[in-house]
Amino acid sequence: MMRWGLIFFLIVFNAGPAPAGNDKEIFLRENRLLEEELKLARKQDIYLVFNLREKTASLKARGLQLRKLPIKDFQYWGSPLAARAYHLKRKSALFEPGREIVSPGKTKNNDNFEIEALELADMPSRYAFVLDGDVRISIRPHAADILSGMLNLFSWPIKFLTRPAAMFWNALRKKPYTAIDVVLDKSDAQTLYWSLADRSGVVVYPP
Amino acid sequence: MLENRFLLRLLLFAAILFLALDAAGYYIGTRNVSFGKQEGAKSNNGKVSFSALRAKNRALRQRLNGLTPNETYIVIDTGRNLLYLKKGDRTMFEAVISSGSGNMLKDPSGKRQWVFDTPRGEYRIKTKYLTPAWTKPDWAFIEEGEAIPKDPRKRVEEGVLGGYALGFGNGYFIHGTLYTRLLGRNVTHGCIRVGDRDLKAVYAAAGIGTRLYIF
Repeated sequence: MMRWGLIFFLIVFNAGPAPAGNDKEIFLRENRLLEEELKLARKQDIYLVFNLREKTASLKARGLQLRKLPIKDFQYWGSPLAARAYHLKRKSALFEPGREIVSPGKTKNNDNFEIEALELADMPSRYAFVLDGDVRISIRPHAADILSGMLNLFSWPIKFLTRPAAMFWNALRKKPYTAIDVVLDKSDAQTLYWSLADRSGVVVYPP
Repeated sequence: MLENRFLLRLLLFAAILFLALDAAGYYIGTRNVSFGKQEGAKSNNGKVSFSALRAKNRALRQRLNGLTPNETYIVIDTGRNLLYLKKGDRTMFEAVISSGSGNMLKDPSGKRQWVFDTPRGEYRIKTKYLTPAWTKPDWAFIEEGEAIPKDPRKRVEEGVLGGYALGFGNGYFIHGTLYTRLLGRNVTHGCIRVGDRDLKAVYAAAGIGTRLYIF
């Protein structure tokens, strides 16, 4: 039993932050990312910029910042991201919002109708953006109530098991694997899900 | 008694194993990430000076910041149903709007379908109308269960778009509404509805070519 305890403490106290690269390499990478962002800004579409150093997520179009959302916390797993813009392949959520199908003739002369629409509040706050290049950005809400607090409490230790296992599995397959777990306010998480369409550009500035 | 002690040991062992694996996971996760290195950068890294890299960084940031329009522009937040009239970083005016419902309508023939989303991205104001009339598209008749008229004059409906309309392409407009109680909700067929007083201010401030950012 003592041996197990010793191993546990050795592992915990050895775990430290990632070694930082030198300033030159950081500038080189950041410049390349800025160039990638300028390329995205040439198009009229909305794109997303995660700045993990400033802990912000910004919705942008043509370089203009439309909305800046604070990141409460994040955890980065796997190989470093390439210094390029990624594109959203799909949004993955347990309960994905569905569109209402309008029945012809139903709306006519109906003053007391109930609003059947897809609104921001219908968006999930716990989901993942699956990007090209096998990159997964998982979004979850900051614990604001008991239920989300409990879910977060269970999800973190599970991620510390599943993420390294996925890293190991992908390393065996010689495939890149990167996962970023991001914590946002619930409404901010819903805003990101709402605003980003498939094939939107995503730029991630590293911490 | 013996079984209980065995079970207790087993549980303790499982808990320690779980924590150890978790800690190992944390170790692997934090140790493997190095942001300093990047693909294809090695060849340039030695040649370019640090000051040149920093100067380029400053120039790129300036180029990006310079993309914010100096003239008046409109930002529409379809999630919160808000319209902002802005100049540079300054917000001059804010209004509650209604934007697309996201609903779907299928032609009973099965040949066509419409999704009532407000388009996202950057657009420009292309047309401006005073006391506009609405030329009802096919979906408006299908939605109400009516036959689509062959005479184009029967498509025209007066007084439903308010006092002003600003078109931003593909049949989408910023216009007024009779349903002011629904402002703040996602109820439109893709257009942006604004209250009368706010619409007048938007119409006065936005000219042809004014940029419109919808997200």
